[in-house]
Amino acid sequence: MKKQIKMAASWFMASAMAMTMLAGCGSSGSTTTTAAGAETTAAAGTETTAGAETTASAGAVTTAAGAETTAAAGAVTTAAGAETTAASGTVSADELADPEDQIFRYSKGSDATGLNPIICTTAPDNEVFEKICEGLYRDVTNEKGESAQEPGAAESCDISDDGLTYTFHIRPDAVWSDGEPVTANDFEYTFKLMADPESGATAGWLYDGTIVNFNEAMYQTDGVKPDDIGVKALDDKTLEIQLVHPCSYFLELVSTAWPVRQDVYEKYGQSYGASVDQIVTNGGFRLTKWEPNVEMTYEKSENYWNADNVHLQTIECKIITDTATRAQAIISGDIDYLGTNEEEWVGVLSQTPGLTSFVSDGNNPEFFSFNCSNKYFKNWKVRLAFSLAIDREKFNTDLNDGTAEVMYGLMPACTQVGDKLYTEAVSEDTQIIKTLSAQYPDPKALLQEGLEEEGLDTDPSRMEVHLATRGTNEFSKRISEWMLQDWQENLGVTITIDSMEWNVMWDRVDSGDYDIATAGWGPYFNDPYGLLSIYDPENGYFNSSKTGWDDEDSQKYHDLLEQSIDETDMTKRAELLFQAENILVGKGVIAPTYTATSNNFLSDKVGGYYVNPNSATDYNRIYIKKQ
Amino acid sequence: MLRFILKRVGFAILTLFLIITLTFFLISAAPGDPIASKVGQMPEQAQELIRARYGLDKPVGERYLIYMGNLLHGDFGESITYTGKQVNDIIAVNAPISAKIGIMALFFQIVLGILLGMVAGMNRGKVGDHVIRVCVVLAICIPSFVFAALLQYFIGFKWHLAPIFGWGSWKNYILPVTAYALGGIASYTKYMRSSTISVYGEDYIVTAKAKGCTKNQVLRKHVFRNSLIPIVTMTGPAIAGIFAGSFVLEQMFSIPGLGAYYMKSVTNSDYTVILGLTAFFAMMYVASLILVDIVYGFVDPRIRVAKTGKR
Repeated sequence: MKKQIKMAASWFMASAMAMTMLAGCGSSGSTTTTAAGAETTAAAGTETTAGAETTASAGAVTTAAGAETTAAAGAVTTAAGAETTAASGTVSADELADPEDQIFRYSKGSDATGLNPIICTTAPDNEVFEKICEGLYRDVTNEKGESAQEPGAAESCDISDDGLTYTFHIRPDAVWSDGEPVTANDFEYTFKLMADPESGATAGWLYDGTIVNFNEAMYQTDGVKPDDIGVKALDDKTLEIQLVHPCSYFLELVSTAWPVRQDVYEKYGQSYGASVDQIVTNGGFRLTKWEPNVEMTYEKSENYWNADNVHLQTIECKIITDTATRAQAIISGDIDYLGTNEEEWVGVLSQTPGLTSFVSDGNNPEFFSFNCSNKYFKNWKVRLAFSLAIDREKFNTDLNDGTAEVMYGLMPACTQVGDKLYTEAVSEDTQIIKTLSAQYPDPKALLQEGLEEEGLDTDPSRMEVHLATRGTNEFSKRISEWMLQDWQENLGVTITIDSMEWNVMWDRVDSGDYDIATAGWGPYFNDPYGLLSIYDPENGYFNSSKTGWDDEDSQKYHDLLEQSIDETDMTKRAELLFQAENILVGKGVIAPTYTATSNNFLSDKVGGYYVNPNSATDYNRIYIKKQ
Repeated sequence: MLRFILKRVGFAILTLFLIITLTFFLISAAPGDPIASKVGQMPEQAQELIRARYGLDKPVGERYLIYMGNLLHGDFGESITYTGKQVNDIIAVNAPISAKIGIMALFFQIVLGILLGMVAGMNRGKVGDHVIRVCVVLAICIPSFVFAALLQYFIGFKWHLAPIFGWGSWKNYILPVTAYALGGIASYTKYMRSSTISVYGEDYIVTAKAKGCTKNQVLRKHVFRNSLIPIVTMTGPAIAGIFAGSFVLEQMFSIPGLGAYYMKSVTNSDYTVILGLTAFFAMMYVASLILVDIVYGFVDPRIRVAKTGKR
């Protein structure tokens, strides 16, 4: 019904534009491409570009991947598989092409929404800031292809024994693009701006519940002002941040806190970042030209503290929406890098001489979310039966050409606890669903058991269950039809598919108006807590008012998460988080399916291209090879 | 005539008011949240702060009044997706780009369409006519984006004769304008052909020939002018279409026109941009209709006489 309204609305608008027969032809065509263009993202994964651009901060994205592989949660663990040398960042001079040839060109599907890092935090925005701005620490790729935190604008950081006080020492040689030194006050100002409810900051909430008084200042409780938050410049070069809980991923969090400087920010006010002249930046590159929806040009910043180790002189980013056009552009040599999952082009590009292809892992799991207030799904056995009935390997083969990471738990392989991989930190097998499948080999029997417990008709064929899709594109359709068939074969349940746009689906989730939702999530930081906290029944995105999950399991889940926050021993913390995951997945609140991988194509002349599991590309290391 | 124009303008304003009002409430009623792309999956409490920042916490009625109030001052408001960007600026900067493509395409459509149509009409049943007719059917049936893809592949990608994407150089016009114009050329040709044929059958042509007019004179003075009526009817709405007709092509060729904004605003429910652009297109359309009515009078005196006669 709602969809029809939206259809009606779009038709109305189309007719308001009112074109002639021929222009009308263009218009109806354009409606189609909106769908295609906007939601494609295509193939291996995701249903929404919009999703990809959505979201805030750490490059984490709901739905991501696809179109914005570079920027979005496309993420990579294996780092640029192509490059094994020089992971540490040093390249000998004779490998480098001449400085005037150090030009790297690539393309993105969407333009940035603006250059104000406080309020522009969608994936295309972050993709710009990671070149032109530098946080206290930098999120980079280490030799193993994992995410690691390296000093950025701060040269070092002292962490107190209780893990609650972080003291950052700002580099003496860190300067802004206009030559002014970067000071601790700049970061203090930036954090206070993010805590100010008036500023419209879209990344502030990441520190809510982490930095002292941040929550209170944002929501104006107890008369707390942004000035009262636990961020203080002790002197020009020393910044102290007080935390509420020890937070093992805090350095990663602050890596996307791109600083602004008070005098400039106040000078431009609302229009800060509206154009390249209305910003000051402190990163390795400067944005010198921005033609909206056409191109962005970056030049190396000569006064950057580490300029000697930055090789590229120029970066050109061309905005090309259409995948076919982008693919042709890389084949003709107009661009040097492309990330795409569109099957038709992956095949062609893999065969193209002069291009190196590599697959990068994702950090954003896809899953089905059950509405636990539904008469069937309030019983965990029913939910789990639906989860166990999914033939995940076949799903991957049929729908993702076998390229995605198959998920038997919620955590993608790249998930870390402290500096260890989650799978290694947890003593048990993290493939929860495999363990459960052995325990309940017949999902249909489990389903009927659950139905009986609820006093419902035990004939699965009479169940009435709706599956909400996330998007209306081809891939969404294929997923839902595949599920229809799978659940029919393995459970005898015939579901009804409700096809809807991605934002409509999230609206439905918000109002609790769904049975099964096709969800996905990109965590904002690489820690199991980043994914598990979304189902916190009290304050997660999928809180109990949306999921209807409010039994004693949910209480236990909440308690485990609370305990994990204060735990400083990483092994114990991993165990607590695993117990929580075991409830979430084991009681079938969600049914993880896969994590999409991305196909990347890089010109052979480019070296040092690394992407880390949090999706950030380290442009400081990229170079053009000597021919 | 003046009264007629004033009356039309009055109706036009009413039409625009209705379109904007209806669009406003339809967008509000449609599912989807304008700040969804901004807030992603923030906690609700944090989302509320952002919502308040963009005035979305107010009831629909109040937002409507604020919007209409600003509109009276010619202010379309600020984009929600593109923070800090005024819709007026988006139109001012990007509409001319879309228009350039549209006007060029329209020019080729009309000139080539009339030319080919007359050639076909005058050579009815001969080889030239058949060739043109086959091409017309093909060009009308194949959508412009298919042409665009073919042009991109062959002319741009295979033969390197023109760039396949981008903006800034005159070369960037070649492919999109060609792709856009083809369908229109075909339509104009089709109409011009049939109207040429019908005019040719009129008695006054026989009279003119009998009076000793040369073929050239008949063509210039009688056939051409009398065949123009359907072309004017078609061109009116096409003028509105010059801003909006090339959206798909803009996407394919990465042209920074209004297309990208319109598409993105609809998917993001960025209602200020949707409304602003819709109102802009509606204005163009209504204005072009008025224009057509006036031009009719010049082309065909009968219409002018009939209209004044009524009053």
